[in-house]
Amino acid sequence: MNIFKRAFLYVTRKRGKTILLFAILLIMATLVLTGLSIWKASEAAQLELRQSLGGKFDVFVDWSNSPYVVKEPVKDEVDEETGKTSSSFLMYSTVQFTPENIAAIKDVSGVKYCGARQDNLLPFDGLSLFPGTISTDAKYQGYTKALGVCNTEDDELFTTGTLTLAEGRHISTDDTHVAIISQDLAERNELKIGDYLTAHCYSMEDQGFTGQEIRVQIIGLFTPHVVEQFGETVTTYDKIQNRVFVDLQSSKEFDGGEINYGFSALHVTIDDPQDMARVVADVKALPGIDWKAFTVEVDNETYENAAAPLTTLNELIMTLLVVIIVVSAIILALILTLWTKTRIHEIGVFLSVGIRKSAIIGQYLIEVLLIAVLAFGLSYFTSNAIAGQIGNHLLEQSMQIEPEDDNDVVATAAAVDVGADNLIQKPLPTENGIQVSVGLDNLAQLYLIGLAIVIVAVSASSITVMRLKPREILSKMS
Amino acid sequence: MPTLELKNVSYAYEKGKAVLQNVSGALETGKMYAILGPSGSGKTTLLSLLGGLDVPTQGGVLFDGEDIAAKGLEHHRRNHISLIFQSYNLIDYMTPVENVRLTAKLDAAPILERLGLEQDEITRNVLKLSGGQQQRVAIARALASNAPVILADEPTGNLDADTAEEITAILKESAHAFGKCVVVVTHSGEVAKQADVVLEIKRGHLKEREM
Repeated sequence: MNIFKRAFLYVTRKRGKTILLFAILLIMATLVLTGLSIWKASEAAQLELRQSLGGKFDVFVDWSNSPYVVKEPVKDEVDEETGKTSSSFLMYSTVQFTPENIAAIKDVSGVKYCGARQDNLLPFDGLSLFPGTISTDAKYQGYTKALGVCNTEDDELFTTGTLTLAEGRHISTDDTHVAIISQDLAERNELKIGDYLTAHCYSMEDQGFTGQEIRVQIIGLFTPHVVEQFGETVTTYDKIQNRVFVDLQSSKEFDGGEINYGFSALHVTIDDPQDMARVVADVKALPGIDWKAFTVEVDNETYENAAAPLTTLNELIMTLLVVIIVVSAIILALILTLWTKTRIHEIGVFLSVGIRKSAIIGQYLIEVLLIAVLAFGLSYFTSNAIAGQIGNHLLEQSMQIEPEDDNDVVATAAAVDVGADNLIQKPLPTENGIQVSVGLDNLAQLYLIGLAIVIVAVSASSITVMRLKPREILSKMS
Repeated sequence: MPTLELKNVSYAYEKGKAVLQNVSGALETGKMYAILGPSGSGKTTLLSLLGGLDVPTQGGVLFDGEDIAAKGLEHHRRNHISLIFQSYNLIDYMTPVENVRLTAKLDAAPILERLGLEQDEITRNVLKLSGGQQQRVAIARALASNAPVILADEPTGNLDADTAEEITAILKESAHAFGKCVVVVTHSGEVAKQADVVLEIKRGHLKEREM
C-alpha cells in the first residue's frame, strides 16, 4: 500500500481530526488570504496615488554658490514722489538652461514633464486688462505677464487641461514674434487671430524702456478651465485671462536679448514619486549641463503626506501577515506534535513492517496537504467576504487625510504649483475607490505560504518521534 | 544453510549489565521455534535483534549467511521478516484486508479467509473484531508479506485457551505448510509443546531444551 492510499484512508476514516484540522487550516488560510488581498489593494492604492500625484522638482540657478552669477550695478532709480534715489544691482547667471537641455531632460526615463518659462512683466500698447482684486504699485498698472516658452503644446498649463487652446494654433519651437492670449482678453480688446500686440524693449542696465518696438502676432486663443473666484485676491498681472504666451525669441528681446538667453529655472514632474532619487540622479548625469551653476529642490511632500497612511497600513498588514504565518506554523506544529504522539503505535507498526521513516513523514505531510488543499480553496470565498468588508474600511480610513492648513493636501484634490500659479487640479484616487478582493494570484501565494507552513509544522512535529529507534517505539507501544 | 543465525551475540542495555552473552544458534525454515525464559531474561531482546529492530552490542545476526546490517536493517525488516505482537498491532483506521495489504506481496483476501475470517469481517473496521480475529489478521499480514521468517512475541498472551490453541496451530501450519521459519517468544508451556524446537534463555545464554 503506497503512502497516498494510507494518507487518504487516514483522512477519510479519522473524520474528527480531519474536520478539526480543516477548521484550523481554513481559519489560518482566511487570515493569510485576507491579509494578502488587503496588502495587494494597499499596494495598488499607493501605486495609483503615486501615478495620480506624481512628483516634482525644480532646478534653478544657485544664486548663492554658483561661480557664474554676475552682480552688476545699474543706473540709480529716482522715486518720482519722494525724489529719493535708490541703488540697484543687476544679478544674472551667465550659464542658463537651453531648449536643448530641456529636451534632454524630457527624454530621461520617468520624467513626465519638463518645462521652463521666462517671466516678463511689461505693458502692451493699448491692451485693456481685466482688473485684479489687489492694488499694485502705480508703476505696474497696465502691466501683465508675458511668458516666454519653447512651445505651448508641452506647457504644463496646457498638458494638464488647466488651459485649452480654443482657436488657432500652439506656439512651436521654430516660431518667432508670435503670441497666444486668452479668448476673454481678445474679446475685451476686439482682437482676433492675425492681429498684433506691441511691446517695447526694456534695458536692464538703464532700468527703462529703450523705445524699440517688438511686435508679436496673435496665433492662438486659450480658455482657462478655472478662473479666480469672486473674493479671491489676485493682482492684475497675475490674472489668468491677462496672461500672454510668447515665443522664446520675443521674450529675450523684451529683456534686451543679451542677458537672458535661456532659462534660469526648470520645473520637472515625474511619473512616480518613489523614483525621485533615481530621476534626479539621471538628470544630474546628463551631459551639457554645468551643475556648478544650478541647484535642485525636490518637492515630494504632497506625495509623502498622501502616501504616509497607506504606507503605515501596508507595514501593519505585512507585520500582521508575518505574525499570522508564524503563529499558524507554531499552532499547527503543536497540534500535529500532540497527534503524532498519539500515533506512536502506528509508527511502530509501520517501522516493524519495514516502512521507512521518510515515508511515514511523507504520509503525514500528504494527509495535511489533502486537507489543506480543500481548506485553502474554501478560504478563497471566506476571505473574499471578509476582505471586502474589512479591507475597504481600512483603506478608506487610511485615505481620509485631514488638511492641516490651506496649503495641505485634502482628500479630494491636490494642488500642484506651477511657478506662481495654483491652477492645476488633480483628483486623488479615493474618488475611484480601491476595491479589496481576493485574486487568483493571492490564492497562488497562499498555496505557497501554506505549503511552507505545513512542511515546517509536519517536520517540527515529527522530530521527536522520528529520533526514536524502532525498538524504543515498540517498547512505548507495549 | 540456516535461514537465521546468531553469531556470538551479546547485548547490554548498560555497560556491565549484559542481557545476552555470547549467544549463538541457527534457525531453519519449515520449523517452529519456541523461546522460553523468565521475565526479563532477554526473550524480547533476542526477538528484536533477530527482527532488525535493534543491533547487538557484540556479534552479529546473519540472514542466509549475510549480516543483516550489510543491506540495512530496514531492508531486513521489509524483505526477510514479519512480526506478530501480543497486542496485535493493527492499524486502527484500516480494515483487516487493508491491514494485510500494508505489506502484502500476496493476495490478502484468500489468506484471511483461510485463517477463518468471513467475507463481511475482512472489510469492517479492524477494532470491531475479537482478539482472536485480530491476531488472525496479524498472522495473515505476516503470511501475506511472503517473508521467510515470522517472529511472534507472546502471540497468545491476550487470548483465551481455545483461541490460543487455534492461533498456535496456525503458526505451526505456517511453518510446515508455508515453509516459514517461525520463532515464538512465549511463557506458555502449551505453545512450547507445539514447537518443533524449544530454546531457553537462562542468565543470558541460549540453550535448546528437550521436551
